[in-house]
Amino acid sequence: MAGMDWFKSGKGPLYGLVAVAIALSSSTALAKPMAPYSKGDVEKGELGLSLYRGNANPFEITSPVTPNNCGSTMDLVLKWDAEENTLDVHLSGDRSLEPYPNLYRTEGVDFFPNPFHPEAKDVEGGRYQLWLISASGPLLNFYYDMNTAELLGSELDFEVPPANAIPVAFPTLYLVPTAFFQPKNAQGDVNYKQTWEYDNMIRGDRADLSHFYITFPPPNLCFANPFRLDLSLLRPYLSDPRPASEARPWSDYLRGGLLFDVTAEPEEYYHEPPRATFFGMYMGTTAVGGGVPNGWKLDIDAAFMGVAPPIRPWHGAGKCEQTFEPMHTLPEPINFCALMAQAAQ
Amino acid sequence: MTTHHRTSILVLAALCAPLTLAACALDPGPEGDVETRGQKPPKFRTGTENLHLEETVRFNNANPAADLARGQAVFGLADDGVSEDPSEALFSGVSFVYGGPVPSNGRTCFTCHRGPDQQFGLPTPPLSDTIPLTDTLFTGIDADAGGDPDALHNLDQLGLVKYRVNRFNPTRGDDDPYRQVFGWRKSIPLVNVGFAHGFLTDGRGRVMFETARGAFFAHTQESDNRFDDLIAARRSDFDDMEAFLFGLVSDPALLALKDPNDPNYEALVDDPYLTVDMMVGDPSKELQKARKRGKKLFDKNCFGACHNTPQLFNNLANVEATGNGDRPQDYVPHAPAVGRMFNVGVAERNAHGLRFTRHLGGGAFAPIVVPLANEDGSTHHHEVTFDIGLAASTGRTEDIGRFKVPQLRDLANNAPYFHDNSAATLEEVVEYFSSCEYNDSKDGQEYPIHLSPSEQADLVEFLKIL
Repeated sequence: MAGMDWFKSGKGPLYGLVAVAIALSSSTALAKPMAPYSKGDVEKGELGLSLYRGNANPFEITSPVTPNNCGSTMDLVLKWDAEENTLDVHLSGDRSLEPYPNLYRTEGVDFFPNPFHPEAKDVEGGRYQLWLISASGPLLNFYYDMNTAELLGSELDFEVPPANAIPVAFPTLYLVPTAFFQPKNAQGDVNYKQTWEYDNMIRGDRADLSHFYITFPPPNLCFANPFRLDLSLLRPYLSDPRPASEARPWSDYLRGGLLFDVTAEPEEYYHEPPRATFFGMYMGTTAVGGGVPNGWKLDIDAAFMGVAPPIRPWHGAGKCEQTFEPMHTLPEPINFCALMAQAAQ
Repeated sequence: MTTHHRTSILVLAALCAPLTLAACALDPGPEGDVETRGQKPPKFRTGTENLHLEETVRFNNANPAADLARGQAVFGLADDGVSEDPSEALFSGVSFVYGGPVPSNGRTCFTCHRGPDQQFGLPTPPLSDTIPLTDTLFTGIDADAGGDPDALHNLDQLGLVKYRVNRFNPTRGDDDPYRQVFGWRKSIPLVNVGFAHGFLTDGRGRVMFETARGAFFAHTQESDNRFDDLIAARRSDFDDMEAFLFGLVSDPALLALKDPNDPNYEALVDDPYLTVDMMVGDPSKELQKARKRGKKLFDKNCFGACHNTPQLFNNLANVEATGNGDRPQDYVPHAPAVGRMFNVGVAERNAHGLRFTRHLGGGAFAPIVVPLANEDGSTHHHEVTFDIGLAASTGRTEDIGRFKVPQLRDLANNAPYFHDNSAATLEEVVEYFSSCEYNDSKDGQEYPIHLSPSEQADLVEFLKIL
């Protein structure tokens, strides 16, 4: 396997202790995590890192537990060559995923319907996709009703801006998936490879489509403070996938910093055109220097607000249970419209 | 010095070298976890470094539509190009985010970056020798220090400012150690700042906009409250100021490095020393030889390791902070750091014996214990006894004591040196890099330097002409 030298070099004593602890706790022999590495440049290079549970969880995502995956990790190696016009992706893991998983959520507890993120509540007989995510999407205009301040949609949802709407720009991420895959055996071992055209990052499952955009706009402007996202009510927004003709080159993804997510998807598409389901099995990111250590997570508030440090301990670390990343809201959301009206009096 | 004496010194140095090496045996240091003390660190260095770092000659460019004259005014530099004019440079007004009127303390960028006579930094301490105590540099000190009783001495006598690096992170509570952790650091001379990969001494400023915004938050008022809406209302001023700052160069020829299409670009990249005038000042034959020897030593020990940017001699490794250009500077996708930072042991040395405990008021202090992530995911509760550098911004144990590699042009005029002004002269700098403190440091182990006294003297002669 490419990158094995680095893999070997990362077997420090601490990793050994961790691996032993994991092996003892799960009574299974698990691979040691890969020390993150990179070499080369945008034109030709290689990148490798381990993916962990909860590592870059966005709001409202569920980290499921399947029989073997509590202490598991997955290893991801990407190799690219612009001249050869290839991006090779290799995802592997021992006892990492359950074949055809059945995963369930409870409405109002870990599932909150969202018109801008239509997804299946449960996954039965599921299948998996690895998502390559650029941390550096463009600013998109979102439109809000002038009277109610409710979110109407983004510029991708309207051919012309809706009348009497307030436009607000938010930064986005964009992502594209592999084809669907399953573990290679009942134990959940994974050895999945896919090759993309470097200059044509189309969906692995649908050659007619490419990336879509994701961000976390407030569903109502009155409950958001653009300078205090930490105090704002934010929810996921996923655009429809862009047509294959708008596919971006790999260099766009790479230069923007990356996130990775292995999701569990329903056995049939839930929505047409297809988007993504918020069951996140393993994640990782290179948008934070060196990636995020196992048991920690990307602090998305910090990332969006440009404050440091950008990582925090993950509340699901060390627990072998399905974990939900809460909706981004305060126990009692602040109505900033009312506050501003008071201030103006 | 006679040939005989020089030979004797060289022989002595050669004999002593093994002793020196032996004396620089690994010391686990006070910051190591109990279980990792004495163990050699892992070989890979990517633990906390940005995985997209490239050794590419590539620098940020200012917005070509920016207004340099406006940028100069916002900086606080008068039309005469020498003195201060605060009329356009103060940030005050009513802010909804702040919760009311933001009171200015009268400080501008110029307050700590005092014009071309000081390389846009501060003069040599004691500052009160050249700056009156009635200057806003001193009268506004509580904006930085919040009543810390060490602040006035450290500013005046050492030229150091108290930086609480996460002071304006509202997602952390007031008592969160990340809000409290701080460093005593110099005000960087801004000449050639446009060639940096990451700004401020620890490189945590990824782009100039957020660097300047942080400076306005930190130095112009006394609270920990942000006033982003005031900043947003003057957003274009920041582009203007960036253009002004990026125009501060020690040699206009260097600007060709910012444009790969410039006819001089290739030559500057191919010959890293092209703009270094070895004959400046009409040197004697002996001095010419010393400079040549010094250049050779620099090339081997400094350029070959850390100072590897052609012409500028800071570190070349960089990542495009705003990605592929889809994003403005307001939304940087890469988290710290966008350049490669090094731990050369200066922070651990703490040569001034600076205090890094939290001032509670009334002369009482308490330890600051920062939970840092080890690379295996475990947590290292680090009690701060010296400046932890980049770790305060990344939350990673591996980044303790890491700082930016400074550019070296006009070095002779930039004293004192290091992030904590702990070397008064170039001689002291060069001597430090042959010391055990350096060679035992995290990056000193990777890039060891052992220069004899005569080699150190030659290297100093070369550094003087950069």
